[in-house]
Amino acid sequence: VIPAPTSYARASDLDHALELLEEPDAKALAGGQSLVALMKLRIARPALVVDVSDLPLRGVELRGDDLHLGPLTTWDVLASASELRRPAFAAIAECARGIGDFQVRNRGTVGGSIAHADPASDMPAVLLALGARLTLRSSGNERSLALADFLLGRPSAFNQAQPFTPFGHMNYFGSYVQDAWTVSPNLTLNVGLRWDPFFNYENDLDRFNNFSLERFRAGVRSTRFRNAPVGVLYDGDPGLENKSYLPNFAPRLAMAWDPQGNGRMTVRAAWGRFFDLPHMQYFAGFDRLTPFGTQIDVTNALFDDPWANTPGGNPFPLRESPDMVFPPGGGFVTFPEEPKPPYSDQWNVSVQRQLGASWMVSANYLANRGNRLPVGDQLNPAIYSPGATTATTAARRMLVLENPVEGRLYGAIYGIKQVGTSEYDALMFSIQHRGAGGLFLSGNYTMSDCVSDLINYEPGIAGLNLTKPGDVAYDRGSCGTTDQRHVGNMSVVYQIPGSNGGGLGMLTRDWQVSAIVAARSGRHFDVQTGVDNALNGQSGQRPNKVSDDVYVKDGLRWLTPAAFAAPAPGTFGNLERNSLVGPRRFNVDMGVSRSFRFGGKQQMQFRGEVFNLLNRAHYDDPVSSLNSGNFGQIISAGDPRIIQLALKYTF
Amino acid sequence: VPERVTLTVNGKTRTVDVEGRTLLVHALRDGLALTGTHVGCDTSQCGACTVLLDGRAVKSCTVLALQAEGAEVTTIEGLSQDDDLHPIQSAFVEHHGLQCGFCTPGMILTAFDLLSRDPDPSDEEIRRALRGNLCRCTGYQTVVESVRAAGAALREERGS
Repeated sequence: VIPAPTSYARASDLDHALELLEEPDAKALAGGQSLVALMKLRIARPALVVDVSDLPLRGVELRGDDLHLGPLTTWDVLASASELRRPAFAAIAECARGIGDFQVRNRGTVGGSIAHADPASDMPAVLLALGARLTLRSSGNERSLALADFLLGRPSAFNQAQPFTPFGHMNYFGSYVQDAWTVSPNLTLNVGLRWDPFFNYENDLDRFNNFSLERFRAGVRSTRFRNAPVGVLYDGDPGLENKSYLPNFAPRLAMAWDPQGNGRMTVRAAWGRFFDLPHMQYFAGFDRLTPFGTQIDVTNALFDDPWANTPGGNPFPLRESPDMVFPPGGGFVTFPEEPKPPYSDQWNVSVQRQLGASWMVSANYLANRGNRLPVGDQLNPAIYSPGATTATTAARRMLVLENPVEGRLYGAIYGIKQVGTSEYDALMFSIQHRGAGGLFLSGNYTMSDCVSDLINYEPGIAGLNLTKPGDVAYDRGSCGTTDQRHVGNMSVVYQIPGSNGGGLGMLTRDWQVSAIVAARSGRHFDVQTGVDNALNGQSGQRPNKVSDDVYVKDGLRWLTPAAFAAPAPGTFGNLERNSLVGPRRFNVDMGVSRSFRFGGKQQMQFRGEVFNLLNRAHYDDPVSSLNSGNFGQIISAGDPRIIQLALKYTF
Repeated sequence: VPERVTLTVNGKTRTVDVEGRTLLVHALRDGLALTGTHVGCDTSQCGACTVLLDGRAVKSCTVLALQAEGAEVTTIEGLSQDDDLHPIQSAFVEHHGLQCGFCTPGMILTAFDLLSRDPDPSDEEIRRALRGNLCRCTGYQTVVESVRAAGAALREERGS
């Protein structure tokens, strides 16, 4: 237990000590009861120890109501100092008496303990409770710092927001008329019409608001909140209406045709429009917005008092008044004044046919077109200019550049636009067999394609927003994880016919075997750089695809890192959204069961089930964040083979 | 790079060549052959290495030798005068305050610091003062009795 080699210097005065301590890897040594112990364990290996014990920094002194402790004061002195008999400071002496042992208290110092800042040490806690401040000196600089800030360092971020109070209501109403018309004995038509009027969300706290660029440029200001920046209007302001949209008529049309008239084949076709009325959660954002849900970020906050540098101190709780303060960079989500509910048009054609006595096959075509789907667009993007960094995002926002005085009060403004569309087409085949011999078989195969814009179904909590503000097309692509080109499933249940009598019959009867086989092609995903390359303040940015050779598909390595490159500053990557495909999956589950009857209602059933019978590795999609050390690699998978045995008694 | 440290040990000025990292206990034992100061745990727990540094009990395994430059160090060898044991030493002998004796130098020097501040400590104060000195054979009862007796002897000596 010998320290690593080190140099030793004794400081003659404070300036000398500060000069010596400028040496890299120099440490101040006072009593040494922590530092020398750590040096012996070689946890601390200072190149130079600067012995400061000769400096005139000892003593306990009362100046008015304030207590001044010299950092070189030992525990022993603190334990018996008469100045610490005052009730206000008695805890210091009591704490000092309990530190280490007699010999340690003879050498250990209060300043050394604080500088060492061992989380397990007692005195920092006592001094924190008493609101201690430190005077810190370096060559040419002196400052005062609260103990909490000295011990913990600078907080990397501090923010506080108002409670989230989503008080609101919506009314739903729907009506439907339909008529079935039997054209001929083997042709039926079904005609219907649904009316889904949309009654807009009402915020019970009058927090509905709306931002428009036109109003911002025209200098229109809220009359309800004097300090609001121009451009945003609130409930009660003239010129803002919370409108409902009523003419939502959804026609439905369907037919069923038995072309042969013998009941063994049917052809069905249908077309319909379906409205998707936004739910309350969709509008929940109003309460989080400036000024109601204002979140204030304090830069350079101190642990001791985070609001010390904020003019006026801690502003919370914020009270609603015409004079409410609007902080710089406030966040907004703005909905259309007259939201029109999204809808989808769906149609399908199917042919079902019975083959023989026990087989049925069908072929179907399904299509779905989504319209007026909500797209989140950043209305106040940061504008790129050479030299821009993510640190200057707030200063580069469009509205700040247009009008610095008013624009500085705006941060991100998510504008919800009802412009998104989606397309889904699928061809589906299915087969069913219900055999007399106890065999039941059901299978289906679907080939589908799904393409959509980047839809934001959760604007109230920010959700997904356009990567390239104003450009819906840039984010159009595959639907992602739900877009699986080929999906096939097959399930079989077989009831083993047993002979009725004899020992063999006892063993073999009442067994049932079942299996499910499921296969699908890979899911769609894309790569994200994890960095604001475009310097526009938006997340989810994609890289450039610099090679068509994107897949390795070797063991756990799925993507070629070299095929992707972060785009140049201020630009967007050319990789299409959700254009990559992950691992496919093939899985077999199996089950065996046997029932025993004891007469009456009593029954015992044994079941054995195996999931992932083949024990295949069901790989998840690879890590898709380009700035991750594991980029392109598969680091997780589904369950291995699981065997489950069960015994069930029914009575 | 050897450095020279000059200090007063048991009343005599002594000079030892040490490294920056050399601990006081090693300077005393290896440099000055004062092996009455023991190394027990070597982690500042057991107190066997206790010496007086400017009259105060300290654990010499947790002090750099260079920190003692110009200081007065008293080790167990410095307590007795010629053949006469120090009253604290005598009290330990009389009251069976030791068995193997490994911890005794540290016990005695710690007691020395305590009694120099307060020659009439309570048993509780004695036990508090000896918290940093561990004994593995006799237990502490006779040690406490020895220190109590030493206090009485010192008071008598001073009174006379």
